[in-house]
Amino acid sequence: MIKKKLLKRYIQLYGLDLNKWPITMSAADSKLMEQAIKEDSDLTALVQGEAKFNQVLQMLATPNPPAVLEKNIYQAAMAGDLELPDKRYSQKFLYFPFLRQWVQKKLVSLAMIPASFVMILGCGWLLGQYYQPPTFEITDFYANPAVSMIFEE
Amino acid sequence: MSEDEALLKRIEGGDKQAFQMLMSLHLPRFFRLAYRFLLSKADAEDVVQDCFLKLWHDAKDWPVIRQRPQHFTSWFYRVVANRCIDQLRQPKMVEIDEDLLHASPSLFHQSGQLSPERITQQKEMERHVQSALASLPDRQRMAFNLCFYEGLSYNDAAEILGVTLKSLESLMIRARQKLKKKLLFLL
Repeated sequence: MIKKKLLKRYIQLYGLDLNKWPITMSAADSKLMEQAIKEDSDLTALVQGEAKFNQVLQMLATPNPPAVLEKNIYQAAMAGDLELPDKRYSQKFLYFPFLRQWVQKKLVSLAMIPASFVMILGCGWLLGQYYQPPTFEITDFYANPAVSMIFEE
Repeated sequence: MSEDEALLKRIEGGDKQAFQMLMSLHLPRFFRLAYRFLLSKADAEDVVQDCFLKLWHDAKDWPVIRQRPQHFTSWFYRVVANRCIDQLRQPKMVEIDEDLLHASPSLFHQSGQLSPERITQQKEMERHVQSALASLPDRQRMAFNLCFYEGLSYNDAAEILGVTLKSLESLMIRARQKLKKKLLFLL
């Protein structure tokens, strides 16, 4: 039994390509799904909308590379021409921005742990320098007649 | 040994013909990837040229060529993808090449069959798709490009982008939602 709500959600999130869905479907499941789509008008409309969406996205025409490009690259390679716009690649071509960002984040979070300990200890030490425990004298309460009466008794 | 593997071995040894053959095999694919991401023919040409030149000059320094030559395509996708992202991050606006739109091969191909109104309509739709794609953040755009246009599996695309499968799914879901929102009036 196919849950229509789940099916709707998957179509909305992952589109019509079943290979891109996070679940694997058997042939029997696919048949059931097709049947469920045919029977349910909401699902049919959703599938049609998705198909139209895919069709619109396919409108992006992609040109073929110019024939001269291959020749240019070959000639430049043979001539040892490395006048490239970005010089960063001349030293380290394997450039992983995501890996670098991930390492940076991990290092920052690791550094934050001892930093927060140091902050807490520092605050405690600073407080200890200036904090004096309150000392109450019996005379402090004399101002309040009710308290002084208790002590007198 | 696959064809790529054999060619890479030869390139490592400085075989020019192998380099030319590898380019003939893969240049269109990587050019399309770069074009769909950068939406500029000139930039796509620069990126692809840059990547292939580096492949030739630094072939001996790349461990992937020696260790896993069979994974050349996914590895080179990553190289081109990173180079594209870097190109986009350079301080300039993404330009939609109007001349290219007019000269797109699909339209030339169809121009014999379609009416001028229909061609204009298609061009207009194409322009909307381009601007919708251009509005996506870099990583979402590249993820969408790899999975939707290049037809790669989520696992392969995640490996190319250096993210987890869950992150890639999330990138794709967000990209799809944004594109749907932008292109709603065309649906």
